[in-house]
Amino acid sequence: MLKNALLINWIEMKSYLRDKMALFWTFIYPVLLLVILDYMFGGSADTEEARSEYSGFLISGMASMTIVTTALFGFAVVLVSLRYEGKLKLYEVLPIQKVSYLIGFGLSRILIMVIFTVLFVIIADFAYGSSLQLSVKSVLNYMALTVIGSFSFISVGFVLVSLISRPSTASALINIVSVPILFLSDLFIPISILPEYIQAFAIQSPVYIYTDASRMILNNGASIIDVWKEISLLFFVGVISLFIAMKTFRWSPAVS
Amino acid sequence: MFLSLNKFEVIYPDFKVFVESLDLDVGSMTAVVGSNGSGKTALIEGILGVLQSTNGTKHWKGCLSTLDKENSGVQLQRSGFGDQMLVEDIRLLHKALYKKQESVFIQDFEIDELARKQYRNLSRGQKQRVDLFVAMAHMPSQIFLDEPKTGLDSTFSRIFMKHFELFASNNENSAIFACHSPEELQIADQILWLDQGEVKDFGQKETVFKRHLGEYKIDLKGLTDQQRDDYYTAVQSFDSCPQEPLKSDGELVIYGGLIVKEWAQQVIKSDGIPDYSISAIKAVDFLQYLTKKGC
Repeated sequence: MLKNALLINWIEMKSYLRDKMALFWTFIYPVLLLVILDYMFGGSADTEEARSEYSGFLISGMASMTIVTTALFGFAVVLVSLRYEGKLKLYEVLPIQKVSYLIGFGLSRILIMVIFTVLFVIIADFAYGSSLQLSVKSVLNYMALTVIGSFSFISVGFVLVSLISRPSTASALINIVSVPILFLSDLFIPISILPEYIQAFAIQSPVYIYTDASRMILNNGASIIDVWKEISLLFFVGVISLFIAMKTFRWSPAVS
Repeated sequence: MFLSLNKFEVIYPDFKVFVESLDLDVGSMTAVVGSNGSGKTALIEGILGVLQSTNGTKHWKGCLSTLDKENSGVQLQRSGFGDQMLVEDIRLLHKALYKKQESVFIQDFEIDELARKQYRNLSRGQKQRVDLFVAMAHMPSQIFLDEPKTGLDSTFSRIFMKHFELFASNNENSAIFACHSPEELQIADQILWLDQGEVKDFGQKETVFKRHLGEYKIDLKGLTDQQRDDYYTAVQSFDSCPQEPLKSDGELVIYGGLIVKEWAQQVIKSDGIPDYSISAIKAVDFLQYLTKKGC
């Protein structure tokens, strides 16, 4: 089972890296957005320290955004499209367990997300001289957190794949759900400026929980042990979602 | 028993396929025939579990409720692999999943030539070669093919037929395949004829031919309109002529049994018909008959 999952992972990673659109949205878009947002809002900081803090805030926010959008658009929508076009139905008759395929496919996206976000954080910190406290220890802790966070978001993506048949519905629904979540998760706009009742709602989001934990590691030098509550919550969301998805995932689109 | 279906029903969008009862023995080669939209693909996908059956029962080899995937080979229409997957990746995946891959299939379907191509960039025929390779290269004992020759050029068509004939020559092997070509039908020993989602006929190939066409095909050419119409009327009075003769300009094609054949031989001699042929019913005749009947 593991051997097949690893092979699927290798094949899917290569396939993802051959997809120009996926590469743009995963690797180029966050960099462009970082440059634009830092140019627009970073300049209004009064001091060099404030500007450096805003850059650090943006870098960790952009990294979180990439993980969420890759999990939802680069994973869930892709899988719904593949199934809708009948490109998964042969797997129904191949001697491969559903769990092997899904683990392999999911792992390919997790690895891409971890590699990208770590490189993104290191290079952006170097380029902007941000307030992030990067060290070998903090990067390793951040990698561990990102693996759990990616697993959690990918698993939520699996649930969506199980529930949605059409790619157009998947894109629309994921946009409707993800846009407010991204805006309310302290990624580009500090939620401290929002009304208290919205803040109370926003801090329940797994995206906020992940972003908050990543800032504790990257900005404050916390270790993975220090954010065990956040890690446990993300892991719990991931396991429950994966369990639901395994029970409901279909290789072929539902006949309507 | 290779496969047994009982009151088996598959629902496709706005379409239903129903099989009251069907028993296929190990070693049987069953051709599923019928017009476009008759339900061939839905039935095969329903049997394989790609489409969910909504009613009835399905038993593999007497008791198994699920397909023996390791020993099955499947080629489906409108399926395939991820757009960015390389043919080389598909070959690797096949080998890892089945643990067996005969190099003769790599050579014959010229898979190495396609190895570095992405699946989405393959032509229709190239995709079919890859799909057939995936279905056959592990030497399964049961295969399920949905119009396997679609898109293949004459060279790869011959290569596929060579492997299919070899597969069929083993008495332990079984197949269910949707077909439109006489060569494929030649391999079948049983015919399952579908019409608008229902089984119109099922049985041994020769029995089905006989039931619908008789044993002989008599083609009379160069007839006057009067001769053609007279023969047409005469033939319809025979019991051993199960189907209405097919009329065209100066030609009459009659399907029938021994009595019809003897009548035709007499008419040819007495009326001096110069251009004619009398032959045993073949696969091509049955498929032509289906086409002309709009089936």
